[in-house]
Amino acid sequence: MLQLNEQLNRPVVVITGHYGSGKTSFALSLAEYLAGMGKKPSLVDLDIVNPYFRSYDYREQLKNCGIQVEGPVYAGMNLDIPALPARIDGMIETADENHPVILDVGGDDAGAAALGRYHPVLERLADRNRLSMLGVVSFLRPLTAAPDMAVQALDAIQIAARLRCTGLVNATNLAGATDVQMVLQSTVQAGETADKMNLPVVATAILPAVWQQMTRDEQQQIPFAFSLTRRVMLPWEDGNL
Amino acid sequence: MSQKYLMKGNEALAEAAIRAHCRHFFGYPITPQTEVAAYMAKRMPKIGGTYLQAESEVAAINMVLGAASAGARAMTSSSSPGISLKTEGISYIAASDLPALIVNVMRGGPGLGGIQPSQSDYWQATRAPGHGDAQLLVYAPSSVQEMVDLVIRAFETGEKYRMPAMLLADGMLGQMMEPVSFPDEIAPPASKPWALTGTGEKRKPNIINSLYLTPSQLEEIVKKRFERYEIVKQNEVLWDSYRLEDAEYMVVAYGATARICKAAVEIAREMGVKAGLFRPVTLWPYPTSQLADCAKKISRVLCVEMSMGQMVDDVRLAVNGACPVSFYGRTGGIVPTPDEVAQQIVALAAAKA
Repeated sequence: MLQLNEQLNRPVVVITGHYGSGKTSFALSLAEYLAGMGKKPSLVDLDIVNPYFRSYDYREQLKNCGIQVEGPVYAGMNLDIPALPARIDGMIETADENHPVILDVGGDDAGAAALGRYHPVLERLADRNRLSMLGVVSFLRPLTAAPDMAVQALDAIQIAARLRCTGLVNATNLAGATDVQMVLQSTVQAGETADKMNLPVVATAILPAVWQQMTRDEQQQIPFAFSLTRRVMLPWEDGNL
Repeated sequence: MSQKYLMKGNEALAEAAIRAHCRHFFGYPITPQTEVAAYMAKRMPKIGGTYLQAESEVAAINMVLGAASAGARAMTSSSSPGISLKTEGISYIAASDLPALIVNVMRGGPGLGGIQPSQSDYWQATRAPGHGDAQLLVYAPSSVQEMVDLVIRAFETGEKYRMPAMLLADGMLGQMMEPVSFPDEIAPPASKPWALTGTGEKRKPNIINSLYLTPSQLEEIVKKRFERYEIVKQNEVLWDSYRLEDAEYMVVAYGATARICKAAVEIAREMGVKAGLFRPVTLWPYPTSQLADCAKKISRVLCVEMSMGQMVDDVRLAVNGACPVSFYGRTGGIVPTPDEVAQQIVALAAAKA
């Protein structure tokens, strides 16, 4: 099911988007995928906005797959202080094809503000096509329910980040209740959003269970299907979803 | 019900309030309910409503008091320490017979405590939501969808009885994402002839007040209010149950904990213990007689909370010695697991045998 767009293969992949669009789930799956290709990826949790459900929570799991996870100094504690360690600067500076760095940025323009600190190096990498800045969209979130709303959210993010998106990731989902129809409809919406922003759709994050329910014809309508592992489980949910 | 969205509990309750015609939100940010304010800040200006970040929780609740006096459907939202600051204003709102919605997305306490989920403000919500003889309607959702449904009900019921209502959620419900849908149409608020809207020189001025210097007058007013509370107790109790039909052991839990207990009931049954769940949806009025009825067919009751044991008081009052009531709780931001609760149920069954 996987056909990796070149943008996911760059030394630095910045993952931004509206709050709750699926950034962290995509970032975690991408890190694992790159590790599976024999690379030594690092995942940086750059979320300074919301202390819950963050990639830093999965650091032990990822360590076992050879993925280094870095995050705000006080991540995972009750202390809600957005301090980022200097190590992150070094990781970005030294990123290359075999040591890619994924930046999992906080939601909306508020979260993207954290990128400002890294602007000089990120801009330099972007100019040399060594960085992709992905806008994650979900059309089942009420504030980005239509292409023009998604464009508005991503515009605000680009301004706060002082970086232009290079591609879109369609991560439209209704958690465990996602169905084929939702994914197909969102593919059209993602296409419209991409056209409006003059960007390519570089991945469609999709749960294997939903992918398997699709006919071959339907599967062929999905641009760059990317297999997603569902991470955020509620305590009463079965982990085998 | 139409389109489904994936939403956080905090966002869903904010959107539900907007769809329920609330156009006045006054608040002050605090984790883990900040998304309520953030969502309101984004949406209210686009629909002609007011989002106002006050200088403190005390100011915010008094803005609600003012807006409610003028007949507006108004609300505020906070988390545990912030609610403590609001309690004076809540008492004034109750004493002024005003409807308003107060949201508490509970976190670990006491004091500043922590930012992880808890249910340790049960006593505050149901016993002393401020000083004086007063009650709030208290609704305890256990899913993101129920956050939506109960916000709408809280506004409507509060206005029907002219009393403040609280949505008592926990940090887990506030932060977790689930699919939700919204009712297609929600009836606008009924007219409020008592509101301070200006007389137009056509009627006598309305007065909203909570100060009474004559003791006999104050007693009379409080007693009248308590007569109204009796009607609320008769009409507004909500509760739910799961697999109680043939249960020998009854778990009592509310909010997100009830979801965990539901899973625990399943695990216990797989282990051969016939368990069931009783879930109060209104915490005030409490489903006392309904719980007492269910307890008649039960040999043991287990109350589970994310606290050191607060609702268990009401469970014991309701069960009234008909069978032993025990308690299991985690606190400080720790969420019990379904396995942990199932073990407690199984241990209860073993102790009886």
